[in-house]
Amino acid sequence: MAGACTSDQSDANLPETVRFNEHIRPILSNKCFACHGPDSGTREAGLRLDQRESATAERAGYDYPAIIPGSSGRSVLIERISEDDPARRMPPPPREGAADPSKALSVSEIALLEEWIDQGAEWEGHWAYERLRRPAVPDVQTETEPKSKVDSFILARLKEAGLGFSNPAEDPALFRRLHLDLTGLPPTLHDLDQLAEEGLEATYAAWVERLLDSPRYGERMAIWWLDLVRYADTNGYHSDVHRRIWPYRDYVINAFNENKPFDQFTREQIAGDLLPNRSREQLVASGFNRLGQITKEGGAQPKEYLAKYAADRVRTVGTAWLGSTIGCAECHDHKFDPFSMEDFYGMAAFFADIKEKGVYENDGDVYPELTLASLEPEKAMRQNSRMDELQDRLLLMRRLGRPETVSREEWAEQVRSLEEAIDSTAPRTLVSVAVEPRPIRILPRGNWQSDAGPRVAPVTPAFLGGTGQISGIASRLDLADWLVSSKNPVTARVFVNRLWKLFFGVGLSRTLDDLGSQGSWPTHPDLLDWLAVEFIESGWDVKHVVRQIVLSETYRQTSVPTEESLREDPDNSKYSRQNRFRVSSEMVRDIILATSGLLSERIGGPSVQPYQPADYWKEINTFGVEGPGSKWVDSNAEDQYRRGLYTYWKRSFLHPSLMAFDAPSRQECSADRPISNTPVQALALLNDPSYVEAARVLAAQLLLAQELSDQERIDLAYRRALSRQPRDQETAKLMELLESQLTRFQGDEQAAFELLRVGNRPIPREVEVTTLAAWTTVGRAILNLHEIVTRY
Amino acid sequence: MEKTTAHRRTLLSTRREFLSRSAQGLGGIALGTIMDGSGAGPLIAAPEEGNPYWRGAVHPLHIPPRAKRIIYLYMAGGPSHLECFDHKPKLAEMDGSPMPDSLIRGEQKSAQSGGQRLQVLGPRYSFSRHGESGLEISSLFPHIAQLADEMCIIKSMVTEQVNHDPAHTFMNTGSIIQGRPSMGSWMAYGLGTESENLPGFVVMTSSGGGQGQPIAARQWHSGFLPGRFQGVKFESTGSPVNYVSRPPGVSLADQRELVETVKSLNFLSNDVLEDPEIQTRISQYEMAFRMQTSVPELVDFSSEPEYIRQMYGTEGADGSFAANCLLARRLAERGVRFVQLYHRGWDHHGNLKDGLKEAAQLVDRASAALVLDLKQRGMLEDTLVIWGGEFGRTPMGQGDDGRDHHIKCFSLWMAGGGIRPGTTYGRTDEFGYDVVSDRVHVHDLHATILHIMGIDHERLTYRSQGRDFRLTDVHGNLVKGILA
Repeated sequence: MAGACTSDQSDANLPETVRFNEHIRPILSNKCFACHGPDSGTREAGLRLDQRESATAERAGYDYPAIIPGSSGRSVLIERISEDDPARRMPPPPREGAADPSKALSVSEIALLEEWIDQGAEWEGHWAYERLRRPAVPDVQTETEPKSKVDSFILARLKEAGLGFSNPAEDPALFRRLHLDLTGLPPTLHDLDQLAEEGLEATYAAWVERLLDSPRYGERMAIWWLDLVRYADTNGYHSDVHRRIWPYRDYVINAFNENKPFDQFTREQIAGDLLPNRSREQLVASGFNRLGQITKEGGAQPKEYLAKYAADRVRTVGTAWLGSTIGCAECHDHKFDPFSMEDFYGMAAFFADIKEKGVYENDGDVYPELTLASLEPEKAMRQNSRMDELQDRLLLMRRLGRPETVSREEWAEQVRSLEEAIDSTAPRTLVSVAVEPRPIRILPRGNWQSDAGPRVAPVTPAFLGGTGQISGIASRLDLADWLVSSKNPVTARVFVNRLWKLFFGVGLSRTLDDLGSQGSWPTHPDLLDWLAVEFIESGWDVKHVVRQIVLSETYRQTSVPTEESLREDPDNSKYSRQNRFRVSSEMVRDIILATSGLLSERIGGPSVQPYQPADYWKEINTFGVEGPGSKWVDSNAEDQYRRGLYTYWKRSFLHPSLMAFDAPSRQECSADRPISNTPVQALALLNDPSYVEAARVLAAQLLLAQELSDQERIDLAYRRALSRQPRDQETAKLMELLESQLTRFQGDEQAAFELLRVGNRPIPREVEVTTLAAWTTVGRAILNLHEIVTRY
Repeated sequence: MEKTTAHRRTLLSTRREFLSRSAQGLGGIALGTIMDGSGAGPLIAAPEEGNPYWRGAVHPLHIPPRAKRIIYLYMAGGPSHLECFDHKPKLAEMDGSPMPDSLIRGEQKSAQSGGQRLQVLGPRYSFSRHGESGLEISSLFPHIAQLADEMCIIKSMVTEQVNHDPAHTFMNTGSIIQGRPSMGSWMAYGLGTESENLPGFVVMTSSGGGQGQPIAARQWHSGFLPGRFQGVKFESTGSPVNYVSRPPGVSLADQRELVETVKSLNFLSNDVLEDPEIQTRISQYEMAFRMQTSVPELVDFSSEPEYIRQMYGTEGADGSFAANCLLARRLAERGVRFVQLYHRGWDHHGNLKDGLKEAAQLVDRASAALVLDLKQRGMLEDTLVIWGGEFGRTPMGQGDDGRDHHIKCFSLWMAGGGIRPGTTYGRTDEFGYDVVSDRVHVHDLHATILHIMGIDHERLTYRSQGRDFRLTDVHGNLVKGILA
């Protein structure tokens, strides 16, 4: 399973120039650092190979240093890794009888190390931790001007390999791809008509702008950010009951839609409560610090849980902003990256001022909360329809004044009770409130019971550039400033790497959660850095970076591989074509509901509860606490058809349809979802009432277009569902299904009625029952296609 | 769009190559996608060649296996070892006296007993010896007692987590950090499945007898392993698997026709798209369709003779632990690798005496029936049955009829494949407070279970976040003493 992180060198010739970061670090990191790396606790023989000083120093008991630059023959390292005597050979087997094959060095790895030493053994800092500099854009000779600078970087490598770009995807495919990637939704029929009229070549850039301006863009972008910050509607631990924090989700959606600069986005979430003249929105954003799991379990030790919350925050900030596994340093110095335990607890100390409890009362609220009741025009916060209604009534009463038939006292009473009702239905949301910081100590081996470790002040990891001069104790605002400061080389790299993934299915470094030394070497390091610099210099402008990517020719290529592309670039690490991948869980739902016409366009507001199997929450125990996290009640009317990201997110029992398509429980920060392909997914698409209803509603719309022939109806269905015309064989196949299903339901009208009863949406009266049932089956066939859930 | 055979072969070999490269650490997403459904079978198989299902990452097995499958009877809540399998006459003798200070000085108390006077609580049930082996088993379990010569009782289990939720996570994943795969997922990943019609890892739950502490779905999550290795939860009432029931009005023939149409259409678009995932998708639809027929048959107990139903104490799939045990046997017969049954009913901070009795009555007969039934079918020799919870209970009383959580020792028993029958392993002190010999940490238990299945726990790894992870983390020692 193990081995070098970067490309396999086993049958390649040695590179002309052996580079530390590209060739040597992965070997040392995988095979040597565990005993000769940053962790002082496990360091053997006083030797560390991650630093030149130690590796080249004279050491007592040895004739020579481990590495003598320029002379592999005299370097003890080479001697020890090429030893014939297994007892002396490095790396040693972990334990007698259980030789771990993953640590043994291959012949080519040894050859690389020799060559590197002979070439002078130049160390480099780990690429992601080096200062960001704008790399030169490669000068590639092309017939036409590259569409984006991105193309120059990609093309330079393609040319080295004797390759070029694949053809652009055909219009309908590219059009669908662009819509899915930027809005999470397929194009509408109206959009498709416009496409047919104008073509895509000339209008492409305008479409990009139009989709970036769509409010759907913010919803689509929110999905992966909510994974990182582990947004959920329940507390997580134990009884896992409801908490109020959905306004934070609205904040994220709005932030992406308004293209809030990422540095500001960072400051508001980590320290919104500490900003001068903070706005209500910034306070809502500070709910970020309250998104972690908390417990209400009787008998739980507050001190233990406060330690868990602190560690969770470090892991989350570490992964979300720094793309690092600093969480490893909770119990020991990091084995591979230079994070020390001081760094871990120093980071935890930034959050020690947050007002919270270790263990909350079983039947009490989690606090502190902000009440969002007000008549201020904060549209983002006014999605609660009940409140809207009450507020409208109050406004009306105020505008019209007291009618003569009502006494003054009675009127005052009416106004007051309405105000109270507004107050009680007003959304509340968890926020950060700063109090006197509690002491944070280094916990030996992560042991929360120990007070033996020294107290630490808030401090950022030294090797990434400290916070600099700060008077007094550093605050969360200082942390946020540092995360997005020019001194910190990783935040921008981490972010643009994740943006790239949205548009290619993989990051430029494939490990979205770890750009540390165990992360994978980027396929295009200069491009990654160029995008990162572009990001910062544009003022942390997210849409700007998105434009650079989606306008490129690289992005527009077809995802259907040519023979040459497959042969020469099998894993597509050179981007000789586009990638294809299954869309995220929420988008599976959104695409199907949009196809059927059921999808609600309402943005924001409290979470909703789409149909869920009746027994699914049978086993939960909320210890008498009631609320949305305790009992599933299918949402009514429009709320039944909201986008997937508004689904009630219960951490311990996530909606099974969402879970089937790999949505994470959000108990922990997650930077990357796996993409599985399982029978449970097939069952969900076949049988989940949401999708059966969608097929039925789609079918009804096809039948309501009375002027159409059956073949034309299939055309229409394909355009709605897949943004393309069906091929003849496809139409024939579906016509066959239709005929057979018509016969079947004509012979069993009762069965037709039963099928059509699935879902809340009423059946149009003018449609005949058996025909509708047969077309519903046709709709189900289309909604179950692999193409529906795949972005090509 | 006519493609040459050579091109198809390139696709095939490319995918194999990519698979092997992914295995070298290209990272989570690639691995997830590629491993999913691709299995070790033909990647672009003709449809009639059938479903390429996952045959396991460990090929061949590291060591000769002693068992092929596991049924884990998970007694959630923390059964009191002092009333179940660890007889301590000293406690009866000292009932009501203060706990000796020498034992408890400086020890961490749980919040619930903290600050209280710590008094010894005598065992609420008597013990007697059973079978030729003479194992001591409490009167709570007249049926399990009949297994005395089949089982090995470990009395020296130790865990690290004193609250239910983290303790379950620790027992199932070897870590309290969430996002790690559960042991069932590790088994499904490492060993693969022997069933074409059912998932490799199935979970069921029941409750009764005490506070029904919740169990989160994370306990059977696949963590960073591909999603296909996640435990599939079967409901023993209503629809047994989420979405396995056809929509109303849709017959089996309708559903077959639908799935066949989807398959044909997917094949047609594959001609244009040449996407290997389409083949996987087709296989998964076939599996899903087979589950829709195999699952109803699976939960239909009418084919079981009356004496078997009586033996377990269930008439049908009614959500009881007994029904789940019978279902577990049927799953095991059909090739499911890992079946985990949770019974949530063992958290007795109060009402210890009656609560224990109620919980025991709900699980005693069926636990024993399962082992005996496997035995009479010749399946016990290659099935590992595990019975136990996430921690034990304190020798000190909590109130006058309760015990608090206790992590320094607890009991767990196993029977079947590779287990030395009719034995006990490990000893606790005369109060049942601490282990005095042959301590078995949760990591050691994991190492031993993997060993029984033919896997060296240090060599079943998966790379995530730049590190090779194991079920046993960086710990775990094989407990040879419990092996036959």
